[in-house]
Amino acid sequence: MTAKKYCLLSLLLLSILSGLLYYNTVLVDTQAYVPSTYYLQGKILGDDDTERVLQSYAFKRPVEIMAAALLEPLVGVRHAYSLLNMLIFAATTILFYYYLKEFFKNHEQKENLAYIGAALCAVSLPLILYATRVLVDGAGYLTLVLGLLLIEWIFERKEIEWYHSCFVGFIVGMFLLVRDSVVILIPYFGLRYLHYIYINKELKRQKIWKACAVLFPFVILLPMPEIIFMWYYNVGSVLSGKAAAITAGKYSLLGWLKFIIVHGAAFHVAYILAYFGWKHEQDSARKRFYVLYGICAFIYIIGIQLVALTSPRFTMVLFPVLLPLAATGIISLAEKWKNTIAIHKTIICCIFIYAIISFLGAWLYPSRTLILEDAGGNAVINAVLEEIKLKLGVF
Amino acid sequence: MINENQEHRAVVKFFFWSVLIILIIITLITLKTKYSDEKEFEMYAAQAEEENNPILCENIKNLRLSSQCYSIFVSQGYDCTGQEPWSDACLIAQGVFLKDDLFCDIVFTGTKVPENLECRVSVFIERYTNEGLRDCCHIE
Repeated sequence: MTAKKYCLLSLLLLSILSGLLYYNTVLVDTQAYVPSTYYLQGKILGDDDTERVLQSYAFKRPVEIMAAALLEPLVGVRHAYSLLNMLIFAATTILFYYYLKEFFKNHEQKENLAYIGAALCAVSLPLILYATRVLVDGAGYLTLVLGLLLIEWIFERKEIEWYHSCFVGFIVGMFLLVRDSVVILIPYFGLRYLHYIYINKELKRQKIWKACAVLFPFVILLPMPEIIFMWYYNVGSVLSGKAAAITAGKYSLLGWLKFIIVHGAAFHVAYILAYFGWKHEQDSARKRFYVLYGICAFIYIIGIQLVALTSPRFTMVLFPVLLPLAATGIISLAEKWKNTIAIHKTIICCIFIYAIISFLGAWLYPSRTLILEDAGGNAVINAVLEEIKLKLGVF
Repeated sequence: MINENQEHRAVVKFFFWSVLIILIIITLITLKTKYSDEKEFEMYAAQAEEENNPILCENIKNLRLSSQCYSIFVSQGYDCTGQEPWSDACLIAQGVFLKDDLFCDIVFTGTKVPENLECRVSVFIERYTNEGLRDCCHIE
């Protein structure tokens, strides 16, 4: 078998292995996804369930629900979501590998870097925890990678015209009907385009008009799919009810402690590896991407914290920045230690350690106590200790 | 500089074979467990029906199969809240039979969050497909 086949098959198997731990399990949001599936199948729901569907946040992200509604008669509603999510998980890992190959195209270690980044993605704690449950989180990460590929493709054009941005706006708008994490790509595209205009000397004179002509249709087309959906199903805006969720808990010191614990634990050692990667990264285009995308993703995570949602599922949006940097960090460590330990052994050890911590973290993730959305860091620590007590029988 | 091809091949080969072996082991363990669970279900469900004793369903370790065993008695009017101590499997079966998500909230409180969610989701599935217990009860 060729290295290419080993590479793709191992990524596929890694995704399946990670997806198995919480395959077909349910979380609070599942209660909205299940009746939403029957609603989209045209079944007559009771008044309570109809209200549950139309008022739920889940229903405002209907694309995977529609796919599950089509598959449900064959395998049942829970397997419909879980099977779709397993496929989406594998697709995300493999697509991320191709994305990274393109991202590191001028790097002499592009094969290794792309593989390491994709393998780290496949064994990420947030994906192990959420990707194959009866939820739609996995689809959000796939649309992020697809969106990034689309934006990169657009910026490879000689000149970006208004119809290019129309296309990006419409596609990102459609992706918003899958899951809202792709919202990061809106400011990212804007910032990236302004930077492109700024460095393009030929466009200097007409800069402002050119920028307006490209960004205006992007902004107009972006909300269209959402508006059409809201109008057709007569459901409120995606933000309706969220203003009320801005409560006092998140502004307390303990609320921000929860923020640090949850988002820190989600990628654990990858942050340290990414730090080494940042120190060794020399390519200015990649550094620009890390900064621009990183700012947009960080603002998203802060925004999510302010509407009382702190969960590793939201930290996952950092993966296009953290994992390539962690891969660079691993390669730089491997080069540094190559006289003591073979390079492939360092790479294997790093991925292995990351995977072990992710699996352990996912297994010990507190599921028996309901942590209130506006709870503080102390609530998380107590719940984790309870789970450790229960699963390991210690203390 | 690293010889990328050789190093890359060694890494991907290692992960391919090690993950494949782990997955084969997991599959074999799952199949074995599934087989022994089915055997256990057949034995105790038949015995419980024969002796008209729902408590025997408690001997079935798999929560879904135990619930299915109880569901026969629940549909005949057996009330799980009269049983001491309360059985998760029986309560899920009763919630599903009654198609009442509020019943799930009343009986599963405190640290019974996963059981509560399994019960509620199974109730919603039962309402529209009558297959509430088909895929239920994956509690880690």
